[in-house]
Amino acid sequence: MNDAFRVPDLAEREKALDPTRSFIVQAPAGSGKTELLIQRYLALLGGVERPEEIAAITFTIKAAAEMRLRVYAALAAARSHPRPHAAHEALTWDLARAALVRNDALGWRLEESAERLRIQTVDALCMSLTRQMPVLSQFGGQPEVIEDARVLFGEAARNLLAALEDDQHPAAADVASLLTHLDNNAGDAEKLIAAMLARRDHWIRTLGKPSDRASLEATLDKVRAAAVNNARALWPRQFPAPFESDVDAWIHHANANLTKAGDWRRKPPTPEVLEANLALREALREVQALPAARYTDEQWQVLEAILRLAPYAIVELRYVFAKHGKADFIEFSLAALRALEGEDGPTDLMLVLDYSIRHILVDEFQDTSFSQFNLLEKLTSGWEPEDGRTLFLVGDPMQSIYRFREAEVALFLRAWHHGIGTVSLAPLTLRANFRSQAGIVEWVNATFARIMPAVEDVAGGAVTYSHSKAMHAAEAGAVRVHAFFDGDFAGEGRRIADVASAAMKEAGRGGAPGSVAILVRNRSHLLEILPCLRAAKLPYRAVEIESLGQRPVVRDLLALTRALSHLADRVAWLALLRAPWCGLTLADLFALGSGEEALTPWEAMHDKARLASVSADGRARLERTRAILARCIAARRRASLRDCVEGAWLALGGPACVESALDLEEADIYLDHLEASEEAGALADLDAFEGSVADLYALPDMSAPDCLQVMTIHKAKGLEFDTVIVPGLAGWGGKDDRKLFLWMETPESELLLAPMISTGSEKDPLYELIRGLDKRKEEHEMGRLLYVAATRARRRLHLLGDVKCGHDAVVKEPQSRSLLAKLWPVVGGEFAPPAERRAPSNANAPVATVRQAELRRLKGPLTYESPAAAAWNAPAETRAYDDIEFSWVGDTARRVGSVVHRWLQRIAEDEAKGWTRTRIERELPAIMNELTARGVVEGDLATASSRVITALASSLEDPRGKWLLGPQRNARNEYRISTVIDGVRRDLVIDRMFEDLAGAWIVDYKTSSHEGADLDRFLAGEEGRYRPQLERYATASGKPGARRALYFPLLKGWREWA
Amino acid sequence: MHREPARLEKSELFERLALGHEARITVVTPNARLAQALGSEFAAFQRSRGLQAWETADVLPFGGLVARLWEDALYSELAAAVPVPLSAPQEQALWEEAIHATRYAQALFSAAPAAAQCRAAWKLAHAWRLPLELSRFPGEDARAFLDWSSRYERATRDRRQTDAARLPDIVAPHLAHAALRKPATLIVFGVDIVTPQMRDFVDALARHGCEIVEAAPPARRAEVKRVALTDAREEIEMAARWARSRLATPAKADVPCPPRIGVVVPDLASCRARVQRVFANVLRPDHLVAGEVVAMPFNISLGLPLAEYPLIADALLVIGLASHESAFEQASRVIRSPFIAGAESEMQARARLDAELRKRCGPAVALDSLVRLAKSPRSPRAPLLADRIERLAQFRKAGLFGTKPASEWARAFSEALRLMGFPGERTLDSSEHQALDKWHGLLAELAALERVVGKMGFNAARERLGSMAREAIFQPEARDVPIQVMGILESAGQEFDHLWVMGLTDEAWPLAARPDPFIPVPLQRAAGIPQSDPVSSLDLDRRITQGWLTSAAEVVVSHPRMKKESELAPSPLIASIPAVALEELGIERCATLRETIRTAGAIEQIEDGTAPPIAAPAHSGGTGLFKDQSECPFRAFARRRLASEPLETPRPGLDPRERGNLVHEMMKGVWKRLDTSDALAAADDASLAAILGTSADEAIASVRRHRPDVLAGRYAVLEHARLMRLASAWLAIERERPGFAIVTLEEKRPIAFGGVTVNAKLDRMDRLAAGGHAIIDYKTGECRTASWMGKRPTEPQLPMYALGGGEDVAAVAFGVVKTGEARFKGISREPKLLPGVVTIDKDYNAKKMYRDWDALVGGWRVELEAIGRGFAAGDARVDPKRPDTCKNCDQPMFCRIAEKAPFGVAGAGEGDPDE
Ligand code: SF4
Repeated sequence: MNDAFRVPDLAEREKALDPTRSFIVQAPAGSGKTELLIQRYLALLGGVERPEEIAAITFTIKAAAEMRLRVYAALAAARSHPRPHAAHEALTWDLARAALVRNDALGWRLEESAERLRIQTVDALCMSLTRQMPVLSQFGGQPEVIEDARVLFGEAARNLLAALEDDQHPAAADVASLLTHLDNNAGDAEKLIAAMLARRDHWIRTLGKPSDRASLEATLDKVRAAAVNNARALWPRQFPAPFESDVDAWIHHANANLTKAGDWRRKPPTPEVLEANLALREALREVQALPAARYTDEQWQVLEAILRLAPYAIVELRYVFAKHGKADFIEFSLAALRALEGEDGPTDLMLVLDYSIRHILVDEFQDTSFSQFNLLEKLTSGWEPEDGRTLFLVGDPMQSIYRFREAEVALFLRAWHHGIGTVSLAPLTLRANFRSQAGIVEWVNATFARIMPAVEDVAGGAVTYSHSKAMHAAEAGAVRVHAFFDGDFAGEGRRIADVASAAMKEAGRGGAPGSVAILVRNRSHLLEILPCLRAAKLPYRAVEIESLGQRPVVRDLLALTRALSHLADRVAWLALLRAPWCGLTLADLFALGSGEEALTPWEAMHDKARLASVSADGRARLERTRAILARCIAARRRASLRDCVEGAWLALGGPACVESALDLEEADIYLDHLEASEEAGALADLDAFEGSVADLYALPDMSAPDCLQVMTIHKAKGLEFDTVIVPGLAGWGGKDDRKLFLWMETPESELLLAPMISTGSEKDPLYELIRGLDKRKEEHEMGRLLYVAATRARRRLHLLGDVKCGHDAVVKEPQSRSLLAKLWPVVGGEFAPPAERRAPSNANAPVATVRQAELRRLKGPLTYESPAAAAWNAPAETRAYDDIEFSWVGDTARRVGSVVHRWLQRIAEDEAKGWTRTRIERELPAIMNELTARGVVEGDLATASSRVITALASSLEDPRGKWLLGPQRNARNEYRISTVIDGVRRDLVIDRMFEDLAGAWIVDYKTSSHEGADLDRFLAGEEGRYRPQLERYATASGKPGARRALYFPLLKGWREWA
Repeated sequence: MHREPARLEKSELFERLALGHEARITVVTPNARLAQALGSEFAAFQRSRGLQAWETADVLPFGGLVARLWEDALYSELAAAVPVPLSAPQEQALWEEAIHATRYAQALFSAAPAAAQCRAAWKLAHAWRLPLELSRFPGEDARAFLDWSSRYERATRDRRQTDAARLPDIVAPHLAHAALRKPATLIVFGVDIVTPQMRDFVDALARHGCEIVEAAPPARRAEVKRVALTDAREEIEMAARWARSRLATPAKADVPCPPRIGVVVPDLASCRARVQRVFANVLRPDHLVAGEVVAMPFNISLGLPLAEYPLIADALLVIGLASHESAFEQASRVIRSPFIAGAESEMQARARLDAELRKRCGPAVALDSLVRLAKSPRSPRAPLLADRIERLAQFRKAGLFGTKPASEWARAFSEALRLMGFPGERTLDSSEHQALDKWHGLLAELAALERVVGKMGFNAARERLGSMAREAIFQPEARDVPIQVMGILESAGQEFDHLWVMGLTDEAWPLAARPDPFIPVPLQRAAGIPQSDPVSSLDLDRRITQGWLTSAAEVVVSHPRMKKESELAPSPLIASIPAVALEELGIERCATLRETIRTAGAIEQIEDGTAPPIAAPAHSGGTGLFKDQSECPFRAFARRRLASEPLETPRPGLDPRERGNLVHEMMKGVWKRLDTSDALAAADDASLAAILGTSADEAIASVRRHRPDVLAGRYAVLEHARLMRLASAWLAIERERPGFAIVTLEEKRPIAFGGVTVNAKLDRMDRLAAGGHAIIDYKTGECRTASWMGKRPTEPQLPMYALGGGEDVAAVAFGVVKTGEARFKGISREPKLLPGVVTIDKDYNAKKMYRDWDALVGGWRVELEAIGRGFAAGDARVDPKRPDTCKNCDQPMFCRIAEKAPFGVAGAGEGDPDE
């Protein structure tokens, strides 16, 4: 840091460390807020009973990890390094030292268990709360997190729509109204309901309260009156105007003065005083667009239907979540809210967690969402001023850019002015910028003071600009604007490459190589840029930029996946045959695939006649492909689908067909995704899977140095670079989706609702009124997005934009939803001179041309030697499976067998003394108990137990049985020995072993039964079956000469041999 | 154990075990895996003494010993005094029942996970002797658990049942009885955490004369190295290669057996598949292309849920199919399953049948409709399948309704599977065999549920079986292999020659304290449950870490530096171990199959844009052929000559094309009855309403033939109303027209251009009172007259009709029939022939390109001839007219546009806004 620059906000920074007070801190870009957060965290640690009492909430997992690392580093430094000299470092050291003293005194052992530092995302916090409160959260048990729940929203929506055909379902009539409203388009209805569920955290509280027509219309009246009052206040007194606030008269008045398009009327000419009054025109436009005072019956009917359907949709969603055992983050946050609310009054976390949360720090608070805000309200409920509990919110409303993830900058403003719940917050503003050189800071100050709204508007999400002071001296060439015209994307691309390569040659701050980032608003802006970087041979890292869905290697794997999943997927099969590994020509494809008979390509590949008309080369290719796929198809659904696809891809020579090694990694990303999506070796929904492939992104090229990075502006938040290039400023944002209903809350928390217009009708003023609000919020956010992009730069900022320009070199204004439009008042002037200089270009020539007739394929069969396997000799497979029953019904017999075995063991241990049929029969209850314990069902119990009794009693009555179970020399029952067979250890259990005059005996009991004649043959069969087993017993027991025998108590059967 | 028992070294332990059964020694371990490992080690010990056979050592987990003693009691006079323990599914079911009986059940998402948590809490409470008393259980969650557990306890008491959690306390009082075969010596091996319950049990054994000895694995002097790797992927990869390198060197020069190698992966559950794959790839690089199941020298200690084995998943789907209605995708999986009868012989036919069903079914399909469709002569024939599902449907009607005891359902499910020919014609492999065996066990357990729950319905039984299959973790029996991959718990107490412990980051290790949510934390902490408190949990994890560091001659601990984008630090418990570079681990390089293949082939690029010319001019398929050829020649080749089409996915309701068909049919019906403007004018409201009603009926009936299940019920009623609305709005337009008479309605006629003849279907042609004919094409979606103009028109059908017949055509127009929009859009020779239809000079696009009507018609002819010639000659270049042509095309996979125009031409895949 340059000492010439005095930090302008030292007092604020010092105040922020007061552990007894709550604050909300506005920390503009580069103001060093992470350091401040860490200092505050350390300061708090020094005063709590348990470290868990402090909850630090970050916006991303990455930020949490970073903050934890830094706290650790601070603790470690305080433990083992001397106090540093620099003032702010010394402060951190002191705070860490105090925390360590506390740690040592209370035995926390923080340095050994990182997890005690509760620095986490809000999602993780919610999950930790719901985990400890299964009942209060209503989850019952923690579900699995699903990041992208769109499939489940769809399923819930479909379930709800199915109510249409269910006469019992209370929502059936409402589904019918909704469908009628949507032109009976079930697909649309599904999408809209799913989208509504995806945003349920917004409306679930609001719609929870009953909303009747009268109160909604009362709100509407107020909104209308407010617009009229606004216009009336601006209307110059010298001109006539309707009296009072007769809204309809004012609408009429507005229409009389403005054209339909909202411009002052030419006929009769509008007085100049009026024309010049832009605010008045805006106000009149608003009046002009006001909706009617009452809902039409049709509107109300459908709105009511939607309002009644919404809770059912929630129920369906909960059902779907429960069925899959999954839930999205919104559900976790709703559940955490429920849990904190408790059944009767707020839940005492002390009871649940064994500690209470006494301090909360929130980073990036400007991007907080409604549900997070609620969570904070709940967590701080019951807090009293000065009771030692504190809230510390840090953020920069100028950097709130996550509206698409439900961030609401208005919440920051609300907390700034009114605190959260019962906690009032002392506001602090930081002003120092430690990041950018003064040239950039000054440009940003000048620019954004103009671009950002002059007046704050909480409801409209309008944030005013807050100036920063640079802590680094100015350098030349801070900001440059590059103008392009008429869609000269190629020129823009080339310029980016030039600027980037020049910037990479410059050293960065502190002597390290300079870092360069290309930041875009949409990924699609990069389609033209990346080829230019490649053409200029500039290696770059692109973070989540390049969609894999379009990459040839991924397409080919997808074709293989589809083909192997379904033999009748004709496109996929044809694609597979055309892919480089097979590379069939059009003529051969035609020979194979045409014809009257509807053969699948796989059948055609086996059809002699068709094969005969394929060229010789084609046949060779086909046969090779067929042989490989035949193996895969024969083994289908054995291994995972991923293994099946990857195996086929390898065998076909897929890796030989890719263009670069990077493609192999892309293949891996695809295959990993496949593995994560499949269930039991198959894909539940191929279509959904294919859709999800479009959301896969290539990994950044890690072999490229990290000094040139390409990413979205959103991703760049929190990062900084020496040079920042922002291209494509003239590009569009996305379309906004239609929603089933819109709602807004007035500052007084009154609700206004508008249903979506029915398919095919004109725009509805009420819907447009609320949507207009949304649009305004979006416009404000565009300014903030620019701010984020511009403030990433340490030394240089390049802005590139492309506008239309007529032949007369008159520059047209950029499209209104582009970033350039926002920036236009500042940079517009810089477009005129180059417009005059420019040479006519054929700018519309496409960057790439289609190679229309090319077939790219493997030249011939692959020959290679597979890499060697690890050194290991697999032992032989020793298990035989022929005795597995194909039905579980045989289980009862098996259970009877084990119970009989167990009893025979006991009887034999008693040497059969005192055992008689009567005694056995007396044991009936015990036997039934045992059978039950083994899982024999009620209905089979009588038969099973009588079989046990028969078996036991017959062996007691049978002379052979008496001899066998009676007293014998060296008798062993259930004798357990281990032995080595073919190099593998086997544990054996010998039922009975003893010696008599004839020598040693080895006997196995078999409870087989046999119906019908020819018992002898049956027994002989059994002997054959069990001979090897008894052989093993004889060898293992060291009695190779023993007589082997099988005893069949149920049959009174006996086989013996030597 | 408070009497300070004797301690034993492992070698002494084996010496004593080698004495055989006579010595009556039993060894108990904390888990089954350690018991198994100890058994193997003892076997190696015996073999190293030159033995081929020996008396099996009695080594089992503690719970196993208790269960055995309980069984002894069961087979003795004590039988009447001991209750029977429940199986895991029985426990689960009883807890669920207890939960359902309370007020909490209403609000819960689902009782099953709560019941599972209850089982864990119940076990904990007994093991640690926690008092289940109201006064000690503040808080809603704890209260709920207390309520449920008292119900559960009562239910088991009433039925004389118990559970594993309580078994030690039930057996202990009976230890005096002779029937309970107590060991003379009990060796407690490697038990780290002794719960009070276990301590009491062991003490009781001691009181009955059993000698208690403690033993632990010896602390070996290990060479310990720490290595930091990029991320978890690299850790797994390196660990696998390291294992491969170590495998090559035997542990002891004189013993040929391979070294014992352990790999500990903390969150094994979440990366099991990757570990499995990477180890397989490294140890047997060719395993995926070997064409057979190959034996692997490693084993992963974690099984998969039974339900995830394809064989079992399909068994569940077959049972699901036996319900009234199932999701189409599930029915489809049964149809294509290799595990049912005829799966091999009818494989092709079934795929074709399935493709057809996709066009005709909705997202849910009733079994009866499935049978009907499968047997329909219009569907591809798969008679074996049709027959099987018909029998299944009959079986369903005969018995799969009402409520029954669980055992009857088990039998019924078994029968349903038999009817479908489960498990199919293919020979099962070893792992499938074992899974099937396990499945039978599961059915038996389902049957045994009747001991605890009452009768249930089909769906309840089916869902219960499904959740049992998801709960049951199953791992096909492993051979004795040198490399063991395991989680943290299983690693305790084992010894290795080489051990690698990965994933030891600061956030993963030590584990966070994780108190049971149902039991108040202070109670848990007071009882000394290690996991309940950060400090005691840290102590435990320290001991485990110490165990690792002394359990092998070589120990490697590793940690990833990054997880996604976050930077991670090493666990504090290993941070002090000196770090080494990866190169110092002595990992040999090994080639991958991928790289080998990648360098094995050469690529060629040849010209191939032309298919053989068509053999005969006539082509089925209508005017769409010209549209395709015009928009992209390859698309026409693919679709029209190779019938290349993707599979459909049933969606709710009708798709846009079918909705269009409905409108066409509706219009046909109306104009069949009103064939002139006069007839229209003359019809009164009542007769018009009747005509519209009948026409809508007919239209629905005709489309319903293709989509019987979809266009039915209320949906059909709504659709009927919609058609009525659309048609009356349309008739309002028609009423404004000057006089006309319908000449043809939905007429098919051959039309030829450039040597290709197609069969075109013309929606409607009117004779105009002003002279000439008007050709009308109904449109229910977007349409623009510009699509007729210029080179390669994208909607050539109207021009084709206009030129194709002999009539004197004076106007061509789209009839836009949409909700909110009913109008003509088109061009006419003279003004005012049709409302809203203009002459060339009034059309924004046409006037730029064409002088007059004749020029327009002439231009059409030139274009259409050229398109036809291109198709006839076999032109199949990948040449989309505009970049966004590909957006609505279903062939990109086949035409390889992504490869031919790598950046952006394909149009699809645009990023979301702001993402
Ligand atoms: S995707 Fe595009 S290039 Fe490929 S066939 Fe379709 S229209 Fe032609």
